[in-house]
Amino acid sequence: MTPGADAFELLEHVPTGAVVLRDDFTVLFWNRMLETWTGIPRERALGRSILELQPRLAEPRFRDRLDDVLRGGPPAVFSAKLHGHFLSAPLPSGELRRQQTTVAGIPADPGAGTLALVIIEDVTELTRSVDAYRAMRDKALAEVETRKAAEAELLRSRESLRATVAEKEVLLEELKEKVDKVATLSGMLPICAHCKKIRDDRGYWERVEAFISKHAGTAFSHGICPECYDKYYSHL
Amino acid sequence: MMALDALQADALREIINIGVGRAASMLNSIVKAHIQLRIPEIQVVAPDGVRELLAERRRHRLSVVRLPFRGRFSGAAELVFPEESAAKLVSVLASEDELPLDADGARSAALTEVGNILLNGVMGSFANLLKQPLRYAVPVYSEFGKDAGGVLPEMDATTAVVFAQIHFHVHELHVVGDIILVFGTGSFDALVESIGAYVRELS
Repeated sequence: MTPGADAFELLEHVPTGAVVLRDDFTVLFWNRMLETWTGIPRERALGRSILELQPRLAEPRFRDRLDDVLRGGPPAVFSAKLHGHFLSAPLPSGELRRQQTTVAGIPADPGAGTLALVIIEDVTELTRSVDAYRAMRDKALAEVETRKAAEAELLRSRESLRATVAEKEVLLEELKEKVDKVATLSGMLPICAHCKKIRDDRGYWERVEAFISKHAGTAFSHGICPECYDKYYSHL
Repeated sequence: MMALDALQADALREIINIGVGRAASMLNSIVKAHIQLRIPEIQVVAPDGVRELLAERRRHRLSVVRLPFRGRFSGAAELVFPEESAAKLVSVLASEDELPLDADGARSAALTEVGNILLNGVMGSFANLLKQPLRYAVPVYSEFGKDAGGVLPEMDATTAVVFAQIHFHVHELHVVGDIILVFGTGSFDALVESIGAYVRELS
């Protein structure tokens, strides 16, 4: 014999939605929580197929698993993450309540098959908290990424500036050397009236080629001019 | 403890594979993604053996969905994943970015559902093919640290464990977990007898 709705009155005292189904999907019990959530009063639900009341449950992903439970199979869990909701139960905003649902088989009297006890938890608030947490985390991660990018850019600029300064310092050093050389060559040079050696700033006498080579980087090649040839080699 | 002969071992593999195949098609219809499930090997081991096998997995925190069952053979069916793999799997199935499971109760609930579908497929296959009705408790999700015990239910020397590695392929993700069926005292012998009857019926 199939039990009546009174047999399940205990389920009025649980803080969840609760429905009991016969093995042909007929609703045997529909608690007040579900009346509030779905707007379907108990009188309208009892004796009708849950597949009529909630046509979404006729989809194979629900119906096949409900069928398994009603044939004595293991309990079935329907998570909010993968299904969103089990029964259509809108909030005042029109948004559907997200639900975590467990369906367990209850052996009925001999010959009456298996009943299915469906317990539905409203996890909308939990989901909202998680969504808020995820949004906060995404924002924090985005800020960290922006900061990292800015720091990398700053580091690149600093390196570039450092390289430019180093380059300028080299140029400045070269310029200074050149200025020193020009200063050395542009002043008054003491030169021997006979051998033409030049006296440097430390008092040493250097051949003119060596002195100019050292201070101006000029290289010399030696030859004999026609006048000197005549003067020194005319006897050859 | 009775041992399975070659034909019975084949039948055990077939029963588990039929259940897993059924679970795969159910998962495919739920998440609208192509999920492939593969069981490359199945072993029957004594409690010490399963502890050794599990020790290799204990380098990670583990996510476990447990489905206790009672009947001619009693025990518990478990789906065990490294926690990180479990979080990735749920993220792919729910098509969203990854969060640690403990940051989101809804995620562990989703993993409970995945385990529920898989273990129901396997246990349903045992019950239907071996014609042995079983009673079940509601599946429970737990997490275990690297050094904590409790991944397996209490076992004694007469307990037998069927250990099946399961490979999930979905999109680019490849996740490996374990299906562990723990049969209490005397239950494995009853299972072997039932499998023997099933094999005789087939031949």
